[in-house]
Amino acid sequence: MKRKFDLFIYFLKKDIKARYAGSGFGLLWAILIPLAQIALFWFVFSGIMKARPYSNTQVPYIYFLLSSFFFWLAFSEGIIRSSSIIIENAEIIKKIPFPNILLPITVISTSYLLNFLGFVFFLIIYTISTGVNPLIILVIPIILFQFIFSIGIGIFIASIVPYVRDINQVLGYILQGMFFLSPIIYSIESVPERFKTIFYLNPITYFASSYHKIILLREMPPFNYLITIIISSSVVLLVGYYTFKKLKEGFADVL
Amino acid sequence: MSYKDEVVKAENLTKIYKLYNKPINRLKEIIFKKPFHMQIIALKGITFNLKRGETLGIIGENGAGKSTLLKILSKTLTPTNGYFEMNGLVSSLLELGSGFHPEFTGIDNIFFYGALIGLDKEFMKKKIEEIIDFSELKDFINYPIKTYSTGMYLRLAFSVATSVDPDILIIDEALSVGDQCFQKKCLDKMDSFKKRNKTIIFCSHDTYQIRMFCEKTMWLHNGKIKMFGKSDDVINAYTNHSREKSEKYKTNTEIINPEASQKDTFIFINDLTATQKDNKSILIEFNVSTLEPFEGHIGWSILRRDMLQISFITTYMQGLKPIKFEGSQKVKIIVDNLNIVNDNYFIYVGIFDKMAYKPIAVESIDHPIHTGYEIHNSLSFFDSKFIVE
Repeated sequence: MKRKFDLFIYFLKKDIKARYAGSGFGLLWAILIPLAQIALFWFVFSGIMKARPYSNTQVPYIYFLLSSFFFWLAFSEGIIRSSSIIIENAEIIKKIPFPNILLPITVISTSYLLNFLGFVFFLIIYTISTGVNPLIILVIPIILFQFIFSIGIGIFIASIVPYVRDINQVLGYILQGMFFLSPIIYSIESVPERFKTIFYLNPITYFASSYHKIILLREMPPFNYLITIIISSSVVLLVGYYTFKKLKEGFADVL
Repeated sequence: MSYKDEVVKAENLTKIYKLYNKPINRLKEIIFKKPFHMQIIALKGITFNLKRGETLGIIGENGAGKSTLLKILSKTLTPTNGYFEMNGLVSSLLELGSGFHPEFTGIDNIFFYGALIGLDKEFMKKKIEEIIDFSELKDFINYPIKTYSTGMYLRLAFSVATSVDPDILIIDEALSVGDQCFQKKCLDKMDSFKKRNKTIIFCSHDTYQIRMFCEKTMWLHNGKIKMFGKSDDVINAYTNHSREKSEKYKTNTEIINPEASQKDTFIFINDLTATQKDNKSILIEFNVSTLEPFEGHIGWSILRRDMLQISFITTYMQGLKPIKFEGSQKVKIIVDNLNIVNDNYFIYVGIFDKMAYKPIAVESIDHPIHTGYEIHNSLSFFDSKFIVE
């Protein structure tokens, strides 16, 4: 176990270093790309469509967006990267025995770490401009469960892709669908009643709405949200773990 | 653990590869639970044990399952059936490069490898000097591996794999890409492992290396053990088998080929003997009798049991004038500075035409040579002195 943990820390350091120091503009890209995305959504939804996340409050759109957007980025980046991580490391997997599962876990952890920094940065500015909110501490368990959820999905995808490589090609579209069908760029309250079921089928909805409730509305997320989060994360993690365990035996054969 | 402990234990190892025409068939199989594949049996029922300090050579033709077996023992491939146990730290050098990351520098890859097989950074830091020294890559160690040549790759891989002081070392056919000098260095290193009672599993097409290095040899044929036992016995059987097989295809690759000599022979070689004087020299003697006067050159060559030519020299190559043969003459060849390994060799002698293009008469004997050497490089140069009486 200690060996696995040491290896995980080693992978993590290596991965972060590669993201920052790998290419000449590594650090620049890591900051610029999310910033550009945020600026784009801000411009389209706030500047052009004049979207107001909540009709009865004056929450600025950028605060609304940022309260859940970083963790969406962490999730989608982590999944995209874990989908190709086994194939990228085929040479090592074929030649050296080591716990392969650490590869997808590492890339998901990296994207959570980096986006968490962005989130903290946002929280500092938000707190300065709107005052201290003790309830904010509640986001930590939500983030943790979202992290567990992402790992479950990540190791599941990572283990399937070597067998069915086409998944890589549709994954981007699936994630895009999950993004638009979850309350990240608009609030769940502004979704018409008859469409809400679609949103409730998307696990991301529960995470995003919980961030909104805690950070912007300063209230506890509904109890059934929390239950859904805990159950879905645990189930996804278990399914992912057992799928990986079963499929990794064949990695050397299919890579 | 005691000296006689079994460090490697394999029982009934079997590997069946499933070949799919299309990737989608793999998915179909999972869904419909019906076979959609063709089976290739790569290994079948491999059972063997190795004790501490034993070295095992694995030989066999291409596709016999050598690499598959080594991959299973290195735990990068899961056997379809069977069970095995490895007691101790295993380090393996599978094919080229042992799984280096092409973008990382040499140094990074050394630590990466250490981390992957579960050694801590402090231990690797202590070893780093030794690894760089042994690999002779001091000037390149801070460059990405992708800029390395194949030989550099191998040098790093071998240095890393052996420096971690494994209890069991697995080497797959990797040494063949190194230059002679590094090959020798590797074999010396492996020898020191052997002396320290480590277990080595070594696969090579070079039966000579295996004979010199391993006490036990396994001959794999079509995924099964065809023979397992003392290296000498197994390799003799294997080389005989290979020779029979190659005779079927009649490839005349030997440099000196009796059939190539002139049909109406008028010059004969007889009473060919070889006597060893001491560890370093050998005397080859034979009679040449000719029906008519003839001017030509004398040559001799030495071949390993697997018919690999180790050395070949003629009087022409030594810059001597053609020798006049008349009636019956005695030829002596004094060979000095022998640096080959104790073994049986084929010694060929021949009489060539004026330009030393083709052999006119050839004779050979099978002869043991004792030198006290255990390891050698495959091409050698000896001092040969030709005397015609």
